[in-house]
Amino acid sequence: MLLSIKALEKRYGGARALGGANIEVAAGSVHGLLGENGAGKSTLIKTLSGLVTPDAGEILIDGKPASIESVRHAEELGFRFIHQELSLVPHFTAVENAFVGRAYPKRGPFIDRAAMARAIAETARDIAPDLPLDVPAARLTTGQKQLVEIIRALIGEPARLVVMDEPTASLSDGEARRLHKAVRRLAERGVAVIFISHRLDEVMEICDRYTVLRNGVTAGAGDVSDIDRPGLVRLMSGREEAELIARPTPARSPVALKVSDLPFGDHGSRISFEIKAGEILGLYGLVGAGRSSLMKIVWGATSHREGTITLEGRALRPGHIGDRIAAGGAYVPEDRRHEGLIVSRTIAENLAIANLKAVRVAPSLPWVGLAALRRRAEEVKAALSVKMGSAFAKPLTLSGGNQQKLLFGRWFGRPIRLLILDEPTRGVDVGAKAEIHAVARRFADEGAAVLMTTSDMDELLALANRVLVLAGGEITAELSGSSLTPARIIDAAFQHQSRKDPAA
Amino acid sequence: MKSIRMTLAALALSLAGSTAAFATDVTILTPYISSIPTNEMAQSFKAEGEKRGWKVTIIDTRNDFGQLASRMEDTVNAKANAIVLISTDPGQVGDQVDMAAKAGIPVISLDGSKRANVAVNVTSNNFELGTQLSEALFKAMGGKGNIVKFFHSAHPGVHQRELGLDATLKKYPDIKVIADHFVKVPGPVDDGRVAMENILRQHGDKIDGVWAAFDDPGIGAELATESELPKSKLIIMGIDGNAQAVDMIKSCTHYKATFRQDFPKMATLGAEQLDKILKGGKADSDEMYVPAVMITPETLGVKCP
Amino acid sequence: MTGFVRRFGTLAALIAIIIAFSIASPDAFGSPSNLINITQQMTLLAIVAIGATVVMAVGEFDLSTASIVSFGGILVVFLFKAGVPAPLACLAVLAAAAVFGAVSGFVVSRFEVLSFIATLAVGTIIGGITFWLCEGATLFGDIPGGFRDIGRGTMLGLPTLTWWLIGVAACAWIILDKVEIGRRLYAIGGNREAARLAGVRIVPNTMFAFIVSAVLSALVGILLTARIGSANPTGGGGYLLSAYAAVFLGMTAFREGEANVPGTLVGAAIIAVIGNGLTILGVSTFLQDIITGTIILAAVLVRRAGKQGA
Repeated sequence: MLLSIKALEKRYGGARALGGANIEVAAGSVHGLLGENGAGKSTLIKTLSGLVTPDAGEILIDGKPASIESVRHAEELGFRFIHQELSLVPHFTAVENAFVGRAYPKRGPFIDRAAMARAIAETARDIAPDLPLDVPAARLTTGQKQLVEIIRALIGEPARLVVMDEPTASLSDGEARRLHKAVRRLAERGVAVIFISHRLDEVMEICDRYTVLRNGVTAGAGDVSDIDRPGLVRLMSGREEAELIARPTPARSPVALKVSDLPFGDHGSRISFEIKAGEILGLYGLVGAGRSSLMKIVWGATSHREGTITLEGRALRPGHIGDRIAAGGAYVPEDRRHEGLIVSRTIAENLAIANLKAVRVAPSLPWVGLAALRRRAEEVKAALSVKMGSAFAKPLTLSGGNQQKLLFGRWFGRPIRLLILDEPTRGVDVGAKAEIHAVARRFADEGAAVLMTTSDMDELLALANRVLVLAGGEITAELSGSSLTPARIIDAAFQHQSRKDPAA
Repeated sequence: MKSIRMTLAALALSLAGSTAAFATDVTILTPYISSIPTNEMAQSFKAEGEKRGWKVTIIDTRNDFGQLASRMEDTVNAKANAIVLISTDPGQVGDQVDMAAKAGIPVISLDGSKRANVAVNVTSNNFELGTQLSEALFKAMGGKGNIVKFFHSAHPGVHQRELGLDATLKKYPDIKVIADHFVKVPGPVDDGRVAMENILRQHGDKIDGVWAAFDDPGIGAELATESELPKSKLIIMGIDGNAQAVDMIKSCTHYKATFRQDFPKMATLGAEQLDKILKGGKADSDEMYVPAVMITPETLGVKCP
Repeated sequence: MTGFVRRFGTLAALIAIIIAFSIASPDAFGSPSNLINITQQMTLLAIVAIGATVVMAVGEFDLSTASIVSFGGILVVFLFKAGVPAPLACLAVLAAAAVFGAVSGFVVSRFEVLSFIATLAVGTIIGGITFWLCEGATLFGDIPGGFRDIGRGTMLGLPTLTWWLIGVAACAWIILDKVEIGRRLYAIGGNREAARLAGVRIVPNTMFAFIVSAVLSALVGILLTARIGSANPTGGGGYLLSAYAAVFLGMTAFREGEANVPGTLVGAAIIAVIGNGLTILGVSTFLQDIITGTIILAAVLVRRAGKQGA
């Protein structure tokens, strides 16, 4: 066995990322690594690449215990990683990109370009015969870039293990098939491939073996020929037996948010949905399903050409955040550091920026009062039980949960009619998570329509009255009441791909 | 045999005639068009040239010598008939001057310095100007006392004036330079003013004279003296005949004299020389001087108390 | 201790420099009238720097300031020569500058062009217009005496220019630190995307910052002309780098890493005091630049050290 990992554990602060993960990968095979968002796949991969040191567990390479000290070390072991965000230099050709960070062939003190081109052409002939090698990477398609990455992984010290993180997530079917071929050829050369994918059909097609992670634990592993698609879904969700008490949709509430015919996804499809006042609608989808971009369109941060969005009968113009705020909208973005907090400004200002009128010294004077800033911060602190010292400290002095509360607090003090939550508890510890859930529920109970997206199944089930599942730019299921179960959610999230595959 | 010679002569004549039919392109290159004298020279030269039917283009590079070199290369490549450098040391664009020579394009210089491949440099003798200024200032001070020196050694002509001062100082052992200031360009007037304010703080009444290598810092020095120490008896003298300086001299301020280089005369002389060269002749000499004119309250017809 | 260095290090440096010069030259440098005069000498630089501060608050740069200073000076004399009364001429200059600022701000925020590039282009255009207006020459004459008085003489015991600085600094401080628009500008500078998602309108606010910078630069052009009685098409060239040096020095003072008005004043004061003191001591002009550059580097390094220590 080239690589075996036994009982690997890793905790970040209080959160457990891995709690006993096992995987066995043989040379010359393609190994599918599966799991929901947050199941521990990326932590496992980071361990292999030397970015993360595990707390416990064993890594055996060729049967001998080993520890991967650094990225450099992983490289020396022959491990190669192809990430979702490709790291090619845009104006370099395939040949030039393949040698970035590798030893260049030299003739005297000069780089031997002919030798570079020869080396790449040789590898490319085997892996991807029709890849243009002399075109800048910026002009290649995503699929071709993936192929360049694969070739790059094979240059220099011989690769023994190639890890591919969702390589086909943004590829067309044709390109994905080309990539599948390249992956198979890689395996034929005796390289082991760990293939992470959410497309169960392709896993069934190109992988020899699979390992399913759930909550940081290996939930199942075996030969792909011994399992079917529902079996994989069962292993991933692991919850089909658990009947959860779904929260009923408020019965006689009026419709607050109405989204009609919004163009969405790559295939020209459109989506429509409604949210009642006091209802929490959860959007679920795998990473890349387009949830965040849908939230941004609804918030007006991204414009849209067709379709309409109305809140309590008022039309919201595309791309006008001001319309949403005037109509009682509020938005908690996904990326706290980059889209949420203004880390160079004080907590008080972060709480006031969306509603500066609230901190005027006098109602008709646009003068920001320090006392008013402090008062508002104290109000939010009390209402949302934020643990903070001075209102004029910087937001990064707070814990993740309290930082997240600031983003809610920013909208505090005005009647909220629409609340958009994008991953409301990412990177937040368990205690704060419950508090934030209570805050979200309180906004709903006060009559706001809540649109929420989350990768956390427990959070989805804890908060949402109703769930829409997105896959491939379409709504593949609307679930509420007794139909709102983890298995049905996961099934719907993988549904789009299965429909394309007549065999499944 | 004779007829062949005649034909050749006729051909040569007609060739000469046909070139004359095209306008003669003369390009003026300078990095300092915003300074009054440079501008005056360029405009006078342009007028002189147009009188002779030349097409005169002025190119300014705003204190940028690198660009001056590039623009000069462009001009050579565009096959101008002649190049006029104003207020520039041709040595700073030496390669380009040689390039022009190789292309057969004559180069003359106004208010610069002489160099191989530069047909003629028409200028005031800056060293002489510096000496004239120093002599006049020291005499006005009665041969003794302290002076403040404003200099700008980055400009070759202005640096020569400074050398003229140094030479004259040797003859006047009782004159002392108690402060000096390198004038910053752009913004020499305000720079001179701020420096003079600060120097007045330190030396106050001990200052008897201000030696300004060019008028701009002298104007700044006058503005500073006016606001800081109006009762001071110090005397300011400069070079260039800047209009604002002349105005100050006329108004009986501390500014007592400026030496005006005869820029229109330089331009006229330069144009005459270039005309000779373009007609196939040679310049009279590789360096020609135009004497400076001293402007004082008396020459302006005012009597100061 | 490190916290103190971080918060007040730059101010302490200014005070230390003043004390050092006062000991070296108690009569000339240390006299109250010289210290008051320094406030006058720093005025023009400080006003340009305050404009730069407002632009830096939104996280951008304005490289057109120097061109606008020259432009302002030339245009005002140009208008005098055309017979336009002084108050009207000044207003026209400020309005023209506001248009340039609006263009820069719009291009930067609406099309997300790097402000370096956009303002470099706008500055080059303004430079061309300036040279075209004056045909490359220094403009002199036809400047009304009443106009000259806005840049010279004293009022209530302080130089007139100092009053301008006090007025502009107070207004800018109120704009950035006291009223709503300042919060928006700093929010954009701190995290543009977060500010946008919180409902802050990027385009008008960014335009506002660039307009303030352009108008203040043009004001400096007017004051410079009043002070020296003539206008030169490259007269503002020296201000750009010193102004940003003042802002950067100021970013190390009072507030961590953010451009702020009190800090910029300290920065401009440091530059002015060094120039004044070294000239009084008879130190060469060349050395002054070396010392100013060294102090900027030192301020930044001390702040970093303070940060790591904290």
